[in-house]
Amino acid sequence: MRRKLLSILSIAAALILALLAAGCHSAKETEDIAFVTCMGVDKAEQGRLKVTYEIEIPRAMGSPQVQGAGSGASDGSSMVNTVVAANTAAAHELLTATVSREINLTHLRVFLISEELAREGIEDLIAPLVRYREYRGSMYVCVVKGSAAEYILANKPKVDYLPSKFWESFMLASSQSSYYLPWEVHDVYLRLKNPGGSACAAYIAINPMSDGGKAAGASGPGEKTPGYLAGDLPRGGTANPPEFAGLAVFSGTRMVGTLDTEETRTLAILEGKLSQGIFALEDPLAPERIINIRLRNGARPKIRARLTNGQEDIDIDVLLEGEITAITSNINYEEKYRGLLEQRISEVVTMKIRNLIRRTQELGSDVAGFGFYLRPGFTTYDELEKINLEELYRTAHVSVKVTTRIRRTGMMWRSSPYKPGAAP
Amino acid sequence: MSYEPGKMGVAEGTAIVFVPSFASLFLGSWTLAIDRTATAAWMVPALSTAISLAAYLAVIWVMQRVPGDLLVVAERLLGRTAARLLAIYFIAAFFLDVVLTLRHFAENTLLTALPGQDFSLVAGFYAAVASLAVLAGIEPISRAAYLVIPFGLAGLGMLLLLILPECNFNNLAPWLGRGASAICLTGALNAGFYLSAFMLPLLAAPFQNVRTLRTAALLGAGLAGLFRTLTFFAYMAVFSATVGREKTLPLFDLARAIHIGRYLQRMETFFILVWAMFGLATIAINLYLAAYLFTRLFNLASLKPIVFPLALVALQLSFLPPDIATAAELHYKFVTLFMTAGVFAVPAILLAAALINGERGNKSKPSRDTKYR
Repeated sequence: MRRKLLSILSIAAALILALLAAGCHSAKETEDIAFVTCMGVDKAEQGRLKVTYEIEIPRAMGSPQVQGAGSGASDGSSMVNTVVAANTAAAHELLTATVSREINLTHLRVFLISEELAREGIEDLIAPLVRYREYRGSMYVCVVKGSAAEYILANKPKVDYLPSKFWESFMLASSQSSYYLPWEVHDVYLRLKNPGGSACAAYIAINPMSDGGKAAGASGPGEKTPGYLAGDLPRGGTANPPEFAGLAVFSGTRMVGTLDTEETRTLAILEGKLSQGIFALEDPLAPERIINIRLRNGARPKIRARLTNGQEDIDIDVLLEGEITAITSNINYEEKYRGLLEQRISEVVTMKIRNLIRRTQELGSDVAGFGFYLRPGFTTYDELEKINLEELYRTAHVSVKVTTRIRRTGMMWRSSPYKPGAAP
Repeated sequence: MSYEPGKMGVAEGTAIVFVPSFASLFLGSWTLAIDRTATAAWMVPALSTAISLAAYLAVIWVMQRVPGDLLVVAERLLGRTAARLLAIYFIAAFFLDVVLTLRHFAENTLLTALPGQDFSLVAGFYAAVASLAVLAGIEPISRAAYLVIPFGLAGLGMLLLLILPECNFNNLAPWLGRGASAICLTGALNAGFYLSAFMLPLLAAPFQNVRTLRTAALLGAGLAGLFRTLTFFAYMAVFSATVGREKTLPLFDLARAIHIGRYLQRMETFFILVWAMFGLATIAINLYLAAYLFTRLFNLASLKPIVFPLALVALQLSFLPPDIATAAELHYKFVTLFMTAGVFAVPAILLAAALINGERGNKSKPSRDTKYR
């Protein structure tokens, strides 16, 4: 009898557990949830924040008529809601009073910070991002030139009509040129707390689309392309006006400056992240002409840092591999002058690295993370904690060696000159 | 007697040792080792595994010379009172581990998967399922745990591979962290994470011979130590000391850091399932050992009637720590002080007694006859 009772109880328990294991308790249907995919913060009056949320409209996502309407449009695949509050948590609570569904941040892809706020310090903004469970460390962080709210409103993606995919695609496409680099909350937070390097964030802005634009500086000797910052790219047309170009750099928790597109690409070389990028160089033998070289890191840069009597010394050894994509002069660089071209590329990149380091030293921002290479030189962590690595970086002596190897010559392996009289 | 644990071999023994030591990885308390050792924290599990296995081999050496399970050996070498004190120590160690693990796993479930759920319901669910498992006996528990091991190791192996792009190995420097002495001290204090190895000599008889006890413990603790070391290594390479010490759920956060393209992310959901399995198995194994030793200590006829009362008391005690931070700190202190004391003291006393008293001991006939040799 007792055995029978136990069997019945066991079966009943198994059935109850099967129900519980189905995991339906606390389950939420997607149609009950409002997914936020982008969040931007601006400075508001009386020390408050203006927090802008881009919220997906699921019913509109599959609808062909909204494809192209994009975000910012009330009839698009997302809507924009701006709340002014003391901080992001208070804004989130106020937001719940404006949307009929439960607000969910687990699919938030990007966190935008206005430049004005970033220059005052991001410690108050980053704190909830690493603690509250709905935020993820893999969210991208961008600094917006101007207003984050205006950026979100102006952003009407046309190629990717889903805003979440727009952000993801844009960041994944950064490896095409390395003119901007994706920085995640996780990376920024580690740089803010662990000694060894300074934080960065992708720099973004709205372009006036007036065909104008303004270079961030003149191109260096041997270069043909100047660097640009977001908002200043010379372009026009009917494309989406927001753009990504350059990096916002931090010293500690405060933004202290920007790197233009060329400097950002140089940083990618130092980090061993340049997978491809076309460099337009002055032809060494015909300076009025251009040679296009597609460069990438041939190996991870060898960086050695040491501390001698309080002086940081950094040795950088970079190997680049290149592919010629254009020689407008038709001079035979593939065979006869290959060494000369490789040497010129190395000189130009060496100069770019030196310029980048000098600029970031002035800003007190070790964006390349040279401090990490210094760490093995300390015996204990207590010794490391006593040193301000960012301050050491300001006065570091840097030696740079760049070696370039042209591995491929594109679809042509020999250049022949134009027929007599064909070209001026 | 109804609480005889049955018949087991190397596989079951490996699971009994491996699961509780490995499951501690899913909790947050081990990051407290970072406070003492900073960037060298990854060396701690390797050292603590070596120390605890050396201590365990000392017990095996004694058991090769004195017949019986650990309590019988203690009785032969030290007398009945000492054996009872030893039983009380192990009951306290395993039972309090049930209490703190229960609290820890229930809190983690709320934090990651069921934020809106009531804590008592989640903890009660864990306690009830573990109790049902204990009623089934240690054989089914250990075999079920053995089946879970490949999933845990494969999952962790995958995590360690996928996290490689996020690793910055300079984060592990300075290599000595807070100094060699701090590493050695913390390594020794963390030996308590492997007290589960001592479960085998306590159960002993079902494993038939000492060779099984030795092989199972070496495999179980060795494997757990290896994966704990690799995980610490990867964790420190990703987060380093300053950020690493902040995390409530280090392994969960390590999984959350995986972001390889659009499709390889949000891996942590897989770990919620794995840790729930390991958590339940750990609670069940510890609860079984506490109940088993309790019946041995008081010469009870059956283990089953005390399982639910013990689980209920554990559940009530698990409510006592006021918050998760206190519970995590208490758990770490409990492991590094109380459980580690056992790892060092039990082998040392038995070894000394065996050397002094001779091979078979000179005390009176043990209270419990054993066929185990």
